[in-house]
Amino acid sequence: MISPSVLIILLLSVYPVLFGSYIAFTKYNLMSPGASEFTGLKNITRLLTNDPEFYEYLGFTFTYTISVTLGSYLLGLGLALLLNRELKFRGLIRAAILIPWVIPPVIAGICWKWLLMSDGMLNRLLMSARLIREPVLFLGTADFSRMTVIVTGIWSNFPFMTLVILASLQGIPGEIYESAKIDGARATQSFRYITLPLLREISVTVTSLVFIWTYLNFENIYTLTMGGPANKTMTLSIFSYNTAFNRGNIGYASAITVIELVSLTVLVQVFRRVAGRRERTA
Amino acid sequence: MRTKQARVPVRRNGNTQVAVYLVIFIAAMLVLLPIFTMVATSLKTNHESQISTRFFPEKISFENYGLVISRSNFLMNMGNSAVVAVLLTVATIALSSLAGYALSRFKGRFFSIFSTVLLMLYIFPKMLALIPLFTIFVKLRLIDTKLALIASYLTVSLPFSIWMIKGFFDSVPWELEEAAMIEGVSQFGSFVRIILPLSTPGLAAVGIYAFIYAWKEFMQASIILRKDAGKTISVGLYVFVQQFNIDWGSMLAAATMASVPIALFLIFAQKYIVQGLTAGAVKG
Repeated sequence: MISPSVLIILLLSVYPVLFGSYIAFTKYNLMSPGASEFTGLKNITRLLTNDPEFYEYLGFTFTYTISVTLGSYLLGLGLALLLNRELKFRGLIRAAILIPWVIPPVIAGICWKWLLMSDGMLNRLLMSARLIREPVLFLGTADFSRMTVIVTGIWSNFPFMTLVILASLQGIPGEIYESAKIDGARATQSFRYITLPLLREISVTVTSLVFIWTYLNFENIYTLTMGGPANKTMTLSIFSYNTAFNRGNIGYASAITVIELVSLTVLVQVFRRVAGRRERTA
Repeated sequence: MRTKQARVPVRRNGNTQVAVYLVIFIAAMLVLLPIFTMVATSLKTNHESQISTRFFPEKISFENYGLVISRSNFLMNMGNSAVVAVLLTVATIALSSLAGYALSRFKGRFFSIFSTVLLMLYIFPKMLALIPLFTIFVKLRLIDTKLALIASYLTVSLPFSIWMIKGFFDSVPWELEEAAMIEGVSQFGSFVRIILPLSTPGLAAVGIYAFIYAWKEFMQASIILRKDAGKTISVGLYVFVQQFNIDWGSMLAAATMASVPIALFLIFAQKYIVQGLTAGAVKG
């Protein structure tokens, strides 16, 4: 029964991943197919020692991932606490929260661009209300565009955080709070000593997941800025995509994804260890 | 999701309730601002959408929608996406329920290795498999075919779906199948007649995820589909943005139409989306 799936996964995932890792050690260009040549660690060493662009993109990928993970976690936690009560319009509120999570990134990119570009809707509204004189270049300068892609990244990830945290908040039995209240605990105290510790495990899980997804994400930034202006919002995923499919250099592009995977694995292990240790001492 | 409601100790007087609703309302408005702007602008006339400095249209017009449909491949792109999404949904449900059942019911070295591989694939960069898949598809002359696109989507949808559906099968008691097998039903027969009907919520969640994934996906489609007529909606919209890059009225009308299937899922199948989302976290 399992064989069709095993076959497909071997054929479509395991084999390509292994083949892809092999390509990383070859000189392989789409413009001259068939002429691949095994070059050992050449791609990797060039990437790590002789490509200043790589470290800039790695740095931004890191900043982007940390900011989006942290931002969407805090926003998600706050909203989940707010929504954890009997509310009217529950379905409607949930639908509103889910929209950024399910909307195709290309559509989200169009929406944000229309809202934020120099003659976009937000600038038009602010100018006609005389709140600003010059349009704000949300997508035009290095700092602003970096902040913009971080904000839109948080926007597309907080729904996941909110709903998962909300689900686990609803699993905490109400009696715990009631007995704490009888013992004279204030609301802030029961939050600090009951809610937070009980959320720790799920928090580690969701932040690791969002960290992984954001680190590897391609669409959110590409559909909005394509990595620009002047490559200031370029991440490793966009870098490898461009290297493979615009420059045709798939050997080098595979090397980038291999390094991307290795660095991600290390980061996730470190994070899990740190978070796990805190779990034991708390 | 449907566990007992935990009560956070908040004093339940009228003022806090009003404040909570107010905060939720403002948050929702902020979150949905990009979407509202899209819909509001698409409903202006083409001219007004270019020059207007007001949020709402002066008069609701469907001019932009007409322009999109008459001047672009938009409907064809929607059709392609629908075909790919439906086929991916069917393939994902069929393959993942078989594999999920096996993982849930059989134990052994092979199965534990297989499930570890699945988990690892869950965190692999899509690009790492996409580059070799692309070269393979070029060799097999499968570039620009829906088959190639669906095949590469399965690499993403299967690992997640198998894990999720396994969770559902785990909760169906083994005794039910045992009873059926004593009655002389084969294991496959009891899977089809007992396990599957009891797991319809799981199958629905898996299917909806596959559909939404196919509808959203951009990167793989942008590489595998090269001809304009064969493109799915995400890539089609992206091309559209490049071609009509100052005609925001048409662009936003196209984007609004492309959002309709997603909106329908949110209205009619919200429960399953939330289910899939939380299951993803637990299994991750």
